[in-house]
Amino acid sequence: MNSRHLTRIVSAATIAAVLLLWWTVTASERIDPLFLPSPAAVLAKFVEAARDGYADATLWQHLAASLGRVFAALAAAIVLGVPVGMAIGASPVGRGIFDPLVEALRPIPPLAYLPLVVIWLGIGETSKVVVIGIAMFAPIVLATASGVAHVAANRLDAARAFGASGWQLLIHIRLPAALPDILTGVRIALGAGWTTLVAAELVAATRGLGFMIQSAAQFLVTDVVIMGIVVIAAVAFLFEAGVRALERWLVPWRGKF
Amino acid sequence: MSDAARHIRLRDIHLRYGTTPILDGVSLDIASGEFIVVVGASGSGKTSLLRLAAGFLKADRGTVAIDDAPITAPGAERAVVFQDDALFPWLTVRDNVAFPLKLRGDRARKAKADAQLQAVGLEGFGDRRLWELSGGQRQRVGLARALITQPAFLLMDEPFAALDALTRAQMQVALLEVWSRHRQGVLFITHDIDEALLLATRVVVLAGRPAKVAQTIDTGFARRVLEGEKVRTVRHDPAFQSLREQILDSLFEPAANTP
Ligand SMILES: Nc1ncnc2c1ncn2[C@@H]1O[C@H](COP(=O)(O)OP(=O)(O)OP(=O)(O)O)[C@@H](O)[C@H]1O
Ligand SMILES: [Mg+2]
Repeated sequence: MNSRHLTRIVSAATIAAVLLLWWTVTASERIDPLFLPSPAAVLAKFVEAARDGYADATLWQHLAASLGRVFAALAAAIVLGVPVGMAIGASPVGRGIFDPLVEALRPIPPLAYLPLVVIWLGIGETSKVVVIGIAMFAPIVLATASGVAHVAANRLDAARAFGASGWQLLIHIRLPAALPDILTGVRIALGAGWTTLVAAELVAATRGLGFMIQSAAQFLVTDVVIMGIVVIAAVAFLFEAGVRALERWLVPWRGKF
Repeated sequence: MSDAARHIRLRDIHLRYGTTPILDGVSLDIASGEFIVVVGASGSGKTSLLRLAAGFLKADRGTVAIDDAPITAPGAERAVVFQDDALFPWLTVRDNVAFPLKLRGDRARKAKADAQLQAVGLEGFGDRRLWELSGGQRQRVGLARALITQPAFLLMDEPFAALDALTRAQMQVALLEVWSRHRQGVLFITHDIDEALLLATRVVVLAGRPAKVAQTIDTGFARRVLEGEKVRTVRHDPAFQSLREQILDSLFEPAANTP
């Protein structure tokens, strides 16, 4: 048995153990379902929300709204973050301009700038995407900058020896060489994005997983809260698996060179 | 390439890193059709010398010129083959070889790359990825990439150092064949004295700290290998053996110019 299989089996066993513990605790009926509903109740809510909906929308509509925001934010963060990261990593002037800005932005929790974004952009869809996007921006910038800056010197020399210009070095050598780091940045950014999603959907949303959880919490519908959390966890897990597959496809040389 | 022989000339080169002098008045000429091999102890400044000729490095004193024009930057007429292969893992074998042509926007680059791969004995390897190749095959890819622009000069920094003895011997013959066809000027660096004598038209020995040219030896063993003589017989030639001793002596004799 190889170590990857072993890890998988242990992971599956761990999840099974947590479910079993959850089931045992709730089956003993010593805990008010208001605090912790049973796995069966959560599953039932899942089916119900998927079929009939909760808070004026089906589970799938909530999911689609959240996915749309995360994807839009990710696209914006990549489109802006990769060039900024390249500027920081490859040019002293670029570093001078962007590094302080990114470093100042990075440690601010999204909840802190959320009100400001709402004042500026209103309570519509844009401000939600912007808040999530800001949270995703810094990880992508920093990962790109580091990847672009740490290209093996001999590869740069080789390209220069063949007459590559500064731009050609950036596009043909630094960018592809940084791809593994950029994808790592995307993974970290997605984590930050999901974290920010719930906060962003606090504000005047009518759909979204975060909104669904919030409105359920207000009425103490705990099974919907837990169901929403599990769905977010499952989706985040699928995203992670997706980025890994993307990695295998885009940077098959990772770990080999 | 024009009929007139081209030259790279390094004249009275002084180089230091920080306060440590590395090269102390080294002069070296490479003309078209010459195969100059530089030998010297590890850390003696061989790579630095090659980087000067390539245009990656500037001398503190002395001149580096190609056909009487000073060398200030890398140029397409001087192709470099690196100590480690310095290939690009995100590209296929074919695209690695075609890379110098891609920089120029040459549309026929794929076909030219395939032809060049064939010339170095890697026909049919174009679609492979680098990690699917052996070390020797990767060095062939590096050689093909260097040759594809038909450079007047080849600057090679211990290209075969990481290869096993058998592969290395095959690569030496392959390189000689390429060179005899195109008659580039070659600057080849090695630790291996046998390799130096086998390939060179002239062996230049660097010795001392800082390094000077301790000895320059014109040889003709490469021609005999090209004419089909067995490498083993050439190596056992007493002339080969005595030159080998001579080079070893000059490598290890206490440097006269240590401060
Ligand atoms: N960028 C650098 N900064 C400071 N010192 C350097 C630098 N590059 C090389 N050196 C030093 O200069 C000396 C010559 O280096 P060089 O790489 O030219 O030697 P070499 O003859 O190619 O050695 P080897 O056979 O081990 O490859 C060495 O002592 C090395 O430590
Ligand atoms: Mg060296």
